[in-house]
Amino acid sequence: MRKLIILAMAAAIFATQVGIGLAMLDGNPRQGRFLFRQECRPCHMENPQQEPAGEYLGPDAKRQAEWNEVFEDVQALPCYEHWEIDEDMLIHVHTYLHQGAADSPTPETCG
Amino acid sequence: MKDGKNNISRRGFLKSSVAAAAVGAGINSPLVKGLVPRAHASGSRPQGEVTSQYTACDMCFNRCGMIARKQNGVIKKLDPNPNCRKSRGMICAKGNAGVQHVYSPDRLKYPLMRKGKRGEGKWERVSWETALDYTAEQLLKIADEYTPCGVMFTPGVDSQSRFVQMFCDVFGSYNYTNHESMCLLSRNRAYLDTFGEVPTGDVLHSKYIIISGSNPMEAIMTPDTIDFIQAKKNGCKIVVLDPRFTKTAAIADEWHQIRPGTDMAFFLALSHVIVKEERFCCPDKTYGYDQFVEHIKDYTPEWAEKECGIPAEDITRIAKEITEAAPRAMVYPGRRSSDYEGSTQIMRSRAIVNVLLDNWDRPGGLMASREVGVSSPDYEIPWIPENPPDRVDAGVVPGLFNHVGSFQIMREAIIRQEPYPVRGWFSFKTNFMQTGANRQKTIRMLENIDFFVNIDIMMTDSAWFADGVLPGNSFLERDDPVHALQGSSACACAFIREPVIDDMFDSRPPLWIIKELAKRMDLEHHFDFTMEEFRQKQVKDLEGALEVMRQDGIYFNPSKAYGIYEGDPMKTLSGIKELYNQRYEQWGIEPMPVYSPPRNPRDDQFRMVVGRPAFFTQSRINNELLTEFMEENTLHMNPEPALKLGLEDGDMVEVESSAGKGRLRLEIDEGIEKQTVYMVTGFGALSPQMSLIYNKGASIAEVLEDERDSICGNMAMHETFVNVRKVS
Repeated sequence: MRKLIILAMAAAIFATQVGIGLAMLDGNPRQGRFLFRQECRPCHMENPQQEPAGEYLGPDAKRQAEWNEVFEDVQALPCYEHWEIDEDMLIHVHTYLHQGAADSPTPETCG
Repeated sequence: MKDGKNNISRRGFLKSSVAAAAVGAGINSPLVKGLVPRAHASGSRPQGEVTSQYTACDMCFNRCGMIARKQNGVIKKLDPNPNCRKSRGMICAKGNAGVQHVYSPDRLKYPLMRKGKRGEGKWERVSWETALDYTAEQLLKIADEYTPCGVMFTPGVDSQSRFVQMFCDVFGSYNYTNHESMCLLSRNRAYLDTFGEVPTGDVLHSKYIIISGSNPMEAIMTPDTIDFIQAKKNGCKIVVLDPRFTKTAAIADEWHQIRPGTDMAFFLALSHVIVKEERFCCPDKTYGYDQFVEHIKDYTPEWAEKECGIPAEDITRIAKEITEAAPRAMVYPGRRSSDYEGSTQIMRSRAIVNVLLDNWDRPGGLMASREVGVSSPDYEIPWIPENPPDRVDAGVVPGLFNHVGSFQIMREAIIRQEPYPVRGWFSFKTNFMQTGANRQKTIRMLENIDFFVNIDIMMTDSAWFADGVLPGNSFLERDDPVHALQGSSACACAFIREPVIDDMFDSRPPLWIIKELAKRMDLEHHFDFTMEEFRQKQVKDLEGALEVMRQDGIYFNPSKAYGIYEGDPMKTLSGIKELYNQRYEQWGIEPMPVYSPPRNPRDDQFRMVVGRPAFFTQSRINNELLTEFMEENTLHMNPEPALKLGLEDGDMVEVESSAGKGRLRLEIDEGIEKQTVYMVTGFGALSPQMSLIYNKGASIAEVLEDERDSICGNMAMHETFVNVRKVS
């Protein structure tokens, strides 16, 4: 899987892309699921395998609006600097989490 | 876990060989009569000790607790598990007949590969090695040519269906569906989109229940079916709306013969009265109340009477009575809702009345899911870039459930080979040839399926058309994972099954079959666990639960039953109950149910409605003990049209729609609406190896047209109009 390290210089472009993603949310949720489990789950599981350890997270841990809020300001997340995914990948992850959110049409109970 | 192959003791081998030989000899042989419980004891065999073992029924989806009584290596009887609160310590006729399910002479005995044309019935017995090698080779070939999404997976209602889902996921296909899109999806869609969750009804503690579109006295649902009787004894009033005088209508306080497809008119008018008379306590706890009040202002009882045929004064009275009983009152949520193109909105109109009764999460009303505490072990799902972007049935209806899709839409897509080809079919315990409306279309779909493998315990109609048939074992021969259940106010519970007898013939557990296929596909690392290891992961948060399941046959989690949402928002977009659905507005569909009269049959036609009696579950009819209740299905018709057509009770008639036809006997039924005919599911089998129902009666799948729910893609089975004529 291709990986790009997100550089701080790209933050402005990145935020714009995410903004577009929020409006369209046309990522691939299945690719998003794979990326979420690869990139996010190791820290966001019941017994975190990596640092920085976070709380358990699956799509149904938040509501759609809450996921949108998270992805509107990704730079604010404490784990942001540890991410190794590009903006396209992030849209896939966002789409996956949004589609399976607690208040989504088809809530997903596990990540 | 038992691998089903190498661990048979000499003693066990002898036991199973005796049973196998007996069943192979035929049900009427003296040996079988000496073995099966209903049989005529010969008295020649020494009577060994009767041993007992907890298990759970598999004759329908309810999973009622059971105790298997075994003697001389043979299951003699199945008794109810008195510890099982979900089934109130009972089992039904189907459960009692479970023994015959296991010892049926129609059991599949060996792996088979098709030799003639599909449906021709020419088979070659092969070894498991050959069957598995060939199956794996064909699935890989299709994946290679069409991507893994080129294979459709359809597991049935079974504790081991989770492993088929896993297999589908790790194989890399999104094209998974099951019986749900021919059953309950419209109900699920409606309740999710109103309350954010699909509830169960707290029947036992209710004081007033309207049942519409359900027949729980025959289509048994535990504990509800039993609780209706007790609730009635406790003073609960039951009002039934049905075009037929069903068994449920028979126990009701009131039965209203509603015109088919007009239920929404009744419920909108009920809402109208409740709102107009200010009988709803809490508009501020709902989203879109003002729009809803405006929306229903013209849906008066007088208007509804003209549509549904129920007198306006009755609608007004029922509105008054049910709100006086509220919140211990409900419109029963039911289960199967695969009726009309507008079924989701019809179910929404029922759900909305429940909103107006303020019965959510309260005794006697609708219950949210209770915590059982059983975990779903995690597994990795690969990302396959070559796969198409979505399910083959995506994008056709706005409210498709991503995880199960729609068989009706998938079948259309496979026939058209658009948006992409699906050329393989992996089926476990589904029989869409008998349950999927428009059987001829399913047969047509098979023209585009290169390889169809079917795991089941009998040669069902679907298996009959397969390329490979793999004999699964029965529920009484199995090690099963922990199975969690919601039991309404009775319980939140879980159970396991452990083998009561060894695998019959050359049958194997579904997980064993999947593991063997996975080995041949380099996917074995996903299934690197024993059944006990899997169970341990499932109950990691429930210390001692497995021991309790073994000791009592069932584990109960004493979790909160009511007030689960106290202080928490609901799982709707607004966080409160949605009378006005915001998402529907985004999808471009009516945010509130808008009534439109159903299409009606011409004067020379009838609307076909279908259902099941208390002793059959869909296509699981080929059971000697159960067909004693009904040897073949009949066509129910009101005496008035029968007289006009010159038909008499018992006449052989042909019932024909645009999809197909069938022949069966006429049953004059004074309790059925005049332009409606009714028959039960499961008969008219194509497979001669379903020996008790082959060519007996008519198949609903053959006659029903395949309309679909326009929101969620659920099959719409009551949109079919038929002509009926006498045949010799």
